[in-house]
Amino acid sequence: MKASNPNPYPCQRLRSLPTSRREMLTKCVGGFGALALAGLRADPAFGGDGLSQPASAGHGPHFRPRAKNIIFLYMDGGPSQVDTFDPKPMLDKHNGEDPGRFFKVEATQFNNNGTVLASPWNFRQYGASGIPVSDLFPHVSQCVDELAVVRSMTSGFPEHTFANYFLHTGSALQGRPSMGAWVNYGLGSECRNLPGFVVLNGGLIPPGGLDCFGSGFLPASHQGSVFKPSGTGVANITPNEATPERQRDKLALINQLDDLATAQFGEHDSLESAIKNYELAYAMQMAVPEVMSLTGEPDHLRRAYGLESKYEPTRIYAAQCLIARRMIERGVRFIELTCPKVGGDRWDQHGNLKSGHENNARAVDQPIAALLRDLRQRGMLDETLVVWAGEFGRTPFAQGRNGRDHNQYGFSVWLAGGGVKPGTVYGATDEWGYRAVQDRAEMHDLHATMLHLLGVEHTRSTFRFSGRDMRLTDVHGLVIHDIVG
Amino acid sequence: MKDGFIFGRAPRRAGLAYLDGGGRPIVKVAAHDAAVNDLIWAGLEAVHEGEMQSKSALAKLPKSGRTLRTPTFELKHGAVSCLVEGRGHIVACVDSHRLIAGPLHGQTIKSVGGKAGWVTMNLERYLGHRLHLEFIPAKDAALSVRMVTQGLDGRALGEIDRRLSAAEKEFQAYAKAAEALLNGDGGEVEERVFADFESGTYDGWAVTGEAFGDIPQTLKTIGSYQGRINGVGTWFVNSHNIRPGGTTRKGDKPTGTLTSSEFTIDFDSIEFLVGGGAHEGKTCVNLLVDGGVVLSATGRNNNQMSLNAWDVRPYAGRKARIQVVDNHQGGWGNIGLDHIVFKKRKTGTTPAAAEKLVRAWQEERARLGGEIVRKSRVALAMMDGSGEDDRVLIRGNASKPGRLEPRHFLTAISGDAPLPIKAGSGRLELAEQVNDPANPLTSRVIANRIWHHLMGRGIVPTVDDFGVLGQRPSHPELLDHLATRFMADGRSIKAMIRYIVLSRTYRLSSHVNSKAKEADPKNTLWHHQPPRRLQGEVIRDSLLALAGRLDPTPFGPPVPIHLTSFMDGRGRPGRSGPMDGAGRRSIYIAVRRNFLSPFMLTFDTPVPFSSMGRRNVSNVPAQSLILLNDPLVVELSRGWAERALKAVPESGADGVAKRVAWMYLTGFGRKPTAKESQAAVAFLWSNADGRKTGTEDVGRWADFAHVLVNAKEFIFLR
Repeated sequence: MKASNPNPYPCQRLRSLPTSRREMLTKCVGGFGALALAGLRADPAFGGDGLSQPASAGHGPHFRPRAKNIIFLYMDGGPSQVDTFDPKPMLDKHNGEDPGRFFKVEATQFNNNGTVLASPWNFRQYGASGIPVSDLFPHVSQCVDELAVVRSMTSGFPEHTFANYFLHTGSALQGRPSMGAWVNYGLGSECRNLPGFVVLNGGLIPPGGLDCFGSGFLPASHQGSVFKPSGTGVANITPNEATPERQRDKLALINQLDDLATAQFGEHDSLESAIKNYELAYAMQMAVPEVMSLTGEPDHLRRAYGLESKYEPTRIYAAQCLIARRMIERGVRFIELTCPKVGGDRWDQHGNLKSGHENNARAVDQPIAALLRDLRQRGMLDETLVVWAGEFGRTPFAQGRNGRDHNQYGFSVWLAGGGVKPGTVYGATDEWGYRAVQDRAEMHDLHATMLHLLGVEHTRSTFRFSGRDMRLTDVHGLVIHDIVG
Repeated sequence: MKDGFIFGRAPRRAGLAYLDGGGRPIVKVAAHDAAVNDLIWAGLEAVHEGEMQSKSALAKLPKSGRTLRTPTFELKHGAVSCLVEGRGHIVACVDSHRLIAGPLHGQTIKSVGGKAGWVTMNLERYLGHRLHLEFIPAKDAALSVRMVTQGLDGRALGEIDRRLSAAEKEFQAYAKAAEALLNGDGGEVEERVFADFESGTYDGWAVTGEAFGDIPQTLKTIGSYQGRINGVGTWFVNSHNIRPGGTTRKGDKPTGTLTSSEFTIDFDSIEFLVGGGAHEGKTCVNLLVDGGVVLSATGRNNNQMSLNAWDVRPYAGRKARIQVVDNHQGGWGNIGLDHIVFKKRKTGTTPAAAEKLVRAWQEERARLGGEIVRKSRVALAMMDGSGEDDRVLIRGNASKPGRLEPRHFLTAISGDAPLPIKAGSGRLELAEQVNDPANPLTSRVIANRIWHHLMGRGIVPTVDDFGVLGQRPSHPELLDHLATRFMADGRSIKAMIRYIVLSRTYRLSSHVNSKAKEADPKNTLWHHQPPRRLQGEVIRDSLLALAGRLDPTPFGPPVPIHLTSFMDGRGRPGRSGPMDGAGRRSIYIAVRRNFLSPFMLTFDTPVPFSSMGRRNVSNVPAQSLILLNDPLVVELSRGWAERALKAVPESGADGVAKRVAWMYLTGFGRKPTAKESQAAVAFLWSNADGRKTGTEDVGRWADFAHVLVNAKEFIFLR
């Protein structure tokens, strides 16, 4: 054990080819999940030698990946499609009229449906693609040529918790593995000193809670690690010893006693792995604070992200975006950003649409645009898939006087980078922005497409549980090839 | 359907005789059919572990073992009416769901109090759903249920009442005659009014203090806010005294007593009306026998007087007085009394045979009542309900129901034929098939699980799946041997554990023979015992035990989860539990879905969303980080060191080695080897950080304890 050796982080991507089975195991899972497999593979319940069975982690890509990592920008509460990326002139024309005159209004969650409600924001076309974006996003609109906007997304569930599980796990029920866990299960992480699936928590854990980030029946090592976007990010990173020497002194004795015990009781993979983990843990004590520290970032970038914004939620989200980029640089496979609190509600404007959406957009707009630009400038955007999505959209008619209720029948999400065809609009809702009518897409399709861009065939990434070969897309999912570049 | 015994085997039919009452029960005869709970079961106590932050209105109802359930029916009309008598609650369960926590759906709980009559629940919002009702008598009270209907208005209910009452007439006459015959009283009771104060004086009573004034009261002299008082005649006793000089506010202030003249107890009972405060011994009516209080009654914090009766036969022939006391000055510091009657049953009217019969019945009932175990621990179980066949869901999609599938056992074993269900859901029949001695699966599954938990790998490695997709057993004969032995040992899990841990295979060392390894690299044939990682709960409990801080108390309410600043999000509990979980074993730490213990999650304690027969065993750096840096681990390591210093007090070179040996013994269950001891002693003598440390330095011993916790042997069993 090299505990006394100052650790040569930052954790670089591994360059050399794996040479031994042990080394290969270490490298193909990695992160907090490193070596989880050593135990599993030796275990017949998880498929004998593990190498011939799908029930082992890190099956690797099935074909050439376009993206290596994913940043998932979760828009908590359900942003309104007709106020963001899906302009509908009919709403202006018939503002204040009874929507029942024009189409069948389904029961909504609160069923306090008012009249047709025009968007309070103007839409303008941007960039070479001319994709219209509302005035809510003065910054993201400048990057519109990077985006593939899916205007025909649907969800099966008009209630936050169900819809969140559906968005995150492909099932409306609690307890299924999150997409971040599936991705890490399939591909492992390239970073040894950081978890493969990180949730940067701006403050709002989605309704449905940590089960949105769980590993379900997949090995626990694939679960999302929730980081705060400040300080050390996670617990137990700071050594409790007063000095590094003292910790090394203790580690040396641990190492010595472990060696003596091994001599006495024999060598075993599981024990060796546990011993190895101390090396990684030691390295992580430095790697985690290092990735969390933004002091080394140049001023112009700090400003660009919004770290110096007057609006606190913007500052929080800016830190999340910047840390996300730093984690991507270090090989973290899947990063989800949750929304910061903006005083009022998150994107869930059952009332006061204007101020509520404005605050939420203000928190995320500048940091997201800066992230896209920064990734592009560093040449990382092509390998990083950025996904922007809420759990559902909102009704084109009012809830009460000035709100919008949940709408799962048609809403907009966008993807950028990572092999996505830039400057694209896919699918369409009806003339009211109520229902997807053209190229209707499901959550399963979004998941299938995300896996596809990572080089994973979604029907082949399975895990045997409860007598079935489970997968993220269950028995569904069609890759949306039209948005793949 | 019932979840206990208190409602008997069947409803009480009209014409059926039953014993009623407390001290000396009397025979009654039912005049109509009804489901009634028998008060012989009074005093049932359900012992449970307690709960945290329960806001459930249901939790307060004494329902365990005391519930009567209707069959499930479809709600076609909003109003559901029940003809009931007695005290208790009716709970409507919609699609088998009970109200868990208020205030939503408050209309699914309805309280029933007092007189016979219709109780109507407004359940309009559940129209079209399937529903059943549960009837729960109030604690030690009787509740009788005659009829449940839906969709009837007041007029229709009145019409039912009329018809029931017409039909009941002949039974009432029969019941009255039968009761008279069997009880021998037939209403023939001799009554003597002892005092009713209608003279408007306290003649024959001795007064002390001011509370009772000079004369009794009438409705005109008490505060009108006291209401009608419920007295007999014009005069009564009332110590809420606002007569001349008193004020409403001070009415409870005066104190005093009122004592009757002496009388001889030559009768069976004393009945009187009592009202006012419920302060025992302070606002009360007492029976004094030979000057001492033998019986006492208080009001119920209610100005309206109600009837109270004393059985005074035990004091027959003794001299007695009745004393009224008001010795309380605060709220409800008053007592009311009126109409004291001495009652004596006329003797000699019961036919000897009937009397003998009833007495034998009473004795047998009393004997049976004495055998009832009234206090029992609650075990969680679902109450059986109406049977409902479900549909096959196409591709598992709940919105695509396919054909109805009758309830039956596993097709592979008993075919597709429906279970022969006599009544209820069929759970009983399913349980019978699961437990049928001819069914080998059940004992194989549990024997395999016990093997799995002890050995780290099941004989069938997929412990949750014995089906075609599961793995085949490595040692089928062994599995059957264990399964049959398990059955033969009366299905004792303890005996099976003992049998396995005493086996040679369990006791194998973890040394690997290189030839064996070559022949059987996966150790399928158990040529050695591979080290097994301890479960998260076991690791934490071991740390607590070593630090001397483990509280081994079984049961009790859970300890709230300790919240670190990293555990944030919706629904964060307002209060964090103690970092050490108050020393309770890990199974007693509260499980909050969004705030699970990071320690347990890291060490593979399953996320509690479904059962998991077989845990993952991961091996990740986060585990090392917890053992290195978690404040609780550090604190408990120090506790272990402090214990070591106390347990082995000697110092000096030899003392250090002895103490090291003690720690190896307590931590690993073995003595250190010479080399291990040397390494430890060297560490403990060394001056880390250039500090001057003696062998009694707690900090250095804490460091050493922390080292042992981080040695792999601490979390691996071999």
